[in-house]
Amino acid sequence: MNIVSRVYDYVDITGTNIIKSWYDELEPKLKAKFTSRIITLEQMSRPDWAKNKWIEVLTGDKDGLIAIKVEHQRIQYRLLGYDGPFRREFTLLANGTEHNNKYIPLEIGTIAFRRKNEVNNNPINRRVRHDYR
Amino acid sequence: MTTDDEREKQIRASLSNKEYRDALAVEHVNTTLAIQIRNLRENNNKWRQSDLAKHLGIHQETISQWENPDYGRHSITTLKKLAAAFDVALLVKFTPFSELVADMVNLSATRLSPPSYSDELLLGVLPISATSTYVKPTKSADANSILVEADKILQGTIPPFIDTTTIKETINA
Repeated sequence: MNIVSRVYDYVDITGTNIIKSWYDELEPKLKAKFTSRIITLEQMSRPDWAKNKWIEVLTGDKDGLIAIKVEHQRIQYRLLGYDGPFRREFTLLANGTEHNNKYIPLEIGTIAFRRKNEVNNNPINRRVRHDYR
Repeated sequence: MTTDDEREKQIRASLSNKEYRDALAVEHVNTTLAIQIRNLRENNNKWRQSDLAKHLGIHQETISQWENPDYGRHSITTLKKLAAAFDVALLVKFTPFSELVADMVNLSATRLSPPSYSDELLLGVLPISATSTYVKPTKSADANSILVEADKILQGTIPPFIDTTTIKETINA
């Protein structure tokens, strides 16, 4: 095992793993793309993330968030997360798509920041290790 | 609570879907190839994309595509040329899915950024012989780390495969 950052999924107030719910609905080829990149991200050092085209350290109104980028059938899929709440951890927060430099949903940044605060305030109950099944 | 071992079990369990396991095998190749090409170009050789493109006689945009895991259309002929340019070996083989999973969860630094032949000579991993074609790694980004490793060999922290005097002479050359 060469885990550098353990990956976690955001869990909402009802205990539902929002990321897993979305992940389970993906078609196999798209799911495989995200799985491969999440496993790889887990094993890469933090400074190496931004060197790769499929990881984007976001700025502006999404400053502090990181996007895992996947293109599938000409659609740009995005999975937003942040490195935290603790050292060597990465928490997946929200999913969307990107078209002409605009995210859909438009409020994905706001959603991700709200979830990030919820995780930071209650890391025991508001996140679980990412489920690869 | 998912442990690191459970993670590997989860990935193995996910392979029951044929379409998914086929796609995962493809995506693992695409992702690791993209990272390896970028690392070998930047870390090992200090090449810009345009340097590598010039070396191979192709457009810079093609190198950019190769470093994108969404590309996924590398030919074996292309990979052989890249291996020769980076002075590393290329292994292409059929393998069981259990080995795929083991490979996915063990992406070491060496796996993602393999040392070139000349780097391996300096590290003492490969023996220097009279017939070795030694290429001094003038473009190596990791020249300092190689020297640090070579120091460890000289200090006896890492057992060398060759006479340490030879390494000393090589470093001083």
